[in-house]
Amino acid sequence: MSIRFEGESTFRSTDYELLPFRFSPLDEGCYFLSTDYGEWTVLDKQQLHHLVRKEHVGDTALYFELKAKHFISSEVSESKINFLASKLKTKKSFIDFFSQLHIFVLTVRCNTSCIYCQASRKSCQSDPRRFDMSDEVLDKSIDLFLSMPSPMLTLEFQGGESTLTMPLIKRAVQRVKEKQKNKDIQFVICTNLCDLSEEDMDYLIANDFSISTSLDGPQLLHNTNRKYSQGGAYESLIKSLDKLKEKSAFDKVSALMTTTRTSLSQAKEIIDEYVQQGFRSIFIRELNPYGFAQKYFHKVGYSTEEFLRFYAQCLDYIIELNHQGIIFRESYAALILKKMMTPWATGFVDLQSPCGSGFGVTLYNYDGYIYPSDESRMMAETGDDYFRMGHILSDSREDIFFGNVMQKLASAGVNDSLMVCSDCAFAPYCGAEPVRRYQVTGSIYGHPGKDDFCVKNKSIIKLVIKKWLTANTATRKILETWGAQ
Amino acid sequence: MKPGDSLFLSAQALQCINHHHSLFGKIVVDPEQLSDDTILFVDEARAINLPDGIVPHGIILSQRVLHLKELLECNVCPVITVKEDCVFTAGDIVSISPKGRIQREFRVASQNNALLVTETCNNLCIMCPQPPKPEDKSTYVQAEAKIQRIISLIDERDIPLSLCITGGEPTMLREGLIRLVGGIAEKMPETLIHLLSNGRYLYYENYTARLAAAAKGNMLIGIPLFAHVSDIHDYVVQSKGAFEQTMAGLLNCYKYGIPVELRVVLNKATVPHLLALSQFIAKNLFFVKHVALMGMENMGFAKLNRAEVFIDPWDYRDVLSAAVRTLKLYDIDTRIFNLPLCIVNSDAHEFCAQSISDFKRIYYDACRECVKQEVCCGFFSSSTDKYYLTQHATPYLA
Repeated sequence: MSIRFEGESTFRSTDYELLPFRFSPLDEGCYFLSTDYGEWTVLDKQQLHHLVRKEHVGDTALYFELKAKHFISSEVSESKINFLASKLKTKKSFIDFFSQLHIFVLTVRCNTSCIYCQASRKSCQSDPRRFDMSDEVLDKSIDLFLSMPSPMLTLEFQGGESTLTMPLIKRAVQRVKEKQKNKDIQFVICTNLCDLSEEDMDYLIANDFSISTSLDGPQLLHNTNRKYSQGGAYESLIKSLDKLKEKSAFDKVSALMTTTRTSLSQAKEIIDEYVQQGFRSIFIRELNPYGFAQKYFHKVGYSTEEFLRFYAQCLDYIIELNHQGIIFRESYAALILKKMMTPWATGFVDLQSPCGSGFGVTLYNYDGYIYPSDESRMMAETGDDYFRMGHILSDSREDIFFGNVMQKLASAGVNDSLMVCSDCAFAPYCGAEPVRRYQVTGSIYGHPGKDDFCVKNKSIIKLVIKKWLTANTATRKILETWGAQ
Repeated sequence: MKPGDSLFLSAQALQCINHHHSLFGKIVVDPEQLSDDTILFVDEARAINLPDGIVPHGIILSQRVLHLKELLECNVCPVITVKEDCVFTAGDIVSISPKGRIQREFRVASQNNALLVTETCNNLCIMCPQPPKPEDKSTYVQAEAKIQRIISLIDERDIPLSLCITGGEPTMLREGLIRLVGGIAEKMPETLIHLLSNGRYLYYENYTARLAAAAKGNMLIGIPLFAHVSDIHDYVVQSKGAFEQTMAGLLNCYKYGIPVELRVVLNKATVPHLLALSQFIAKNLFFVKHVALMGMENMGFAKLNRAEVFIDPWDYRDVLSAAVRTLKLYDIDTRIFNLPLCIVNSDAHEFCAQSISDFKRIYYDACRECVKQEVCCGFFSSSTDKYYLTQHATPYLA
């Protein structure tokens, strides 16, 4: 047998082409590189210089890494392009079926009064005929909702306090069940859980509702932020949570926290409260600059820097808890990690490109107007109807979804085509948010690089990346489970 | 006592009488069921009368019944004698060369039936346990005809749960392979076709599409991937451009709904890149049905290139643990093949499979006192003192 085997060097290529990637400074002397299909790495300045000049990058392991992560390629063939295209398609699959989260604002009446209220509430004694959705609007809205192309839809009932209109919720659910054929529909109710009767609770459980509630932290903080007309908001909420636990329905509950100026000094206390109540995650959410919060900003607001400091404290404490064996995660960091670690798309509408507004979310207001998001609806409540897409009773489906507002959103809702964003290596983990940018800067394009949206998200993304890079083995394992599972 | 089916694959006849041409046919043990194209196997000492007018294709006599003179000297057909431990089962399909080499093409008693469709290959893996033969296109036609005959001879009651198609590289048959897969899927729609291929030819999308259609959804393709970059993979398979083709082939399998078992042979060339490969798989080949991390069989080229490919699995046990942990993190079903438990870290034991086929599995003397032998894959029978797998095998004592 005269077979000759060639050595490893025979098969080694040294010349390479660059595939599309972006780079941004991460820290002193080091750069973060990313691709559109979710791969990333960190290089020092010299390595980056070698790379962009297509020179020898240094050690073989790094060269192989850049190749395997598709930053470079020995040859760019059609099959490689097809492969990368399929990866990009996977990453962006959240846009496959257009809007999937459909929010129904059934009423703007509410039984609590929160210092940061984003919903321009009316008291619960206000006239339901003026401030609740009419049967006609509800029925037409459900019909439009069911006509959406996605095989999987979420129907979220919101307010005001949505449980003040249980008959409307029941009417909506019944209509969906009667009329829908092959869709997988998830119901969600947003409620403060202050005043939910046992009967209504059983109804929600029986219909497999996800329950989204608010918990800002320990008793005093929660009650300071949220005033309940019938007594302590915290006590009422805990009573409902306990009842849900009794009924083994606690796994259907998730809670949102809103950070106020008072929260900033209570990072541990807030997280401890979540752990104590049995939650497995928290979303450290900053105040929204809409509705009443803007008016009272001096009382409850804070700077982006202050929020970022608070966020970092929370993250550190949560990681510390995990080291102690308490399984708990921060949802925003988990989302970034998932974007960094997996080839999958993430369905989080506040941090997507193309933007969640309009393309991932449709909002049906109690008065029949349609908006691309909750924030744009609140803007309209305070006098600016810039993002109003149309009216359920007078506009056609085409008018609503192919109209002027959607055109605007499309023009500003893809960060690959926004200045600064298009060159930012953190863009694949970030999003575009024309509604928020319009609200804060007066332009749907905003000022990427210096507006709040950019500074906050870029800072948190960098923070998470650095956490990952500097993590010891045990911390790395914790972050890995957040990202991969 | 009569020994049970020893699951042997091939054997040499002791003696061939009247045997001048190749024989091929199905085994029967009950003379009542004899027909012209069957081969009678006799290993029980009782009088046997051949039914009137029926001349079997051949007779195989066990050494223990050589006193049955009327069969030994029957003169109507070839008579082959075999050792006592060569026990056939009715329904087996065998071929016997003019020189008395007996090959069991299909073994009724086994769950590891494999159809070897060619011995040629377009890769030349540095650790290949069964080195390929030079290409001779004329053999493809004969091979296809032979396999089709085997398929047609399998009894309805002996239809296996799975049937492996292996080589060489089965896609060397091109259209022939599609016809074979179609033939199996037609006759045995419940049988899982387990095709072992290097995936390079699956680069051709139209071919993969038609192969998928022929299999009617009941095929699993085992495809090897040795590294996360072409530089290493192409070296292992000794073929420039192979990585690129195999990757495209994997993607075509995904596109046409063929489940893939990704196979990584662990050796000195691949182990340094195993962790990077597992990350590469998680991010790029998440669609694979499972990943098999396979201990290397120290046979064929693995012996010839031992200096380049041999590494004691004991020395890569930590890397192996890290790799399975990564794959598990991404929820990719992973199994470790061909490595005895005692040389794998305990955190990876749950991934270890009893993967070594029945006809080539052995245990060492030391394994006799091991309490885990029953759940251990053992060793390849090809392992020898000189070409050992490991020097760290240690029995688990109760």
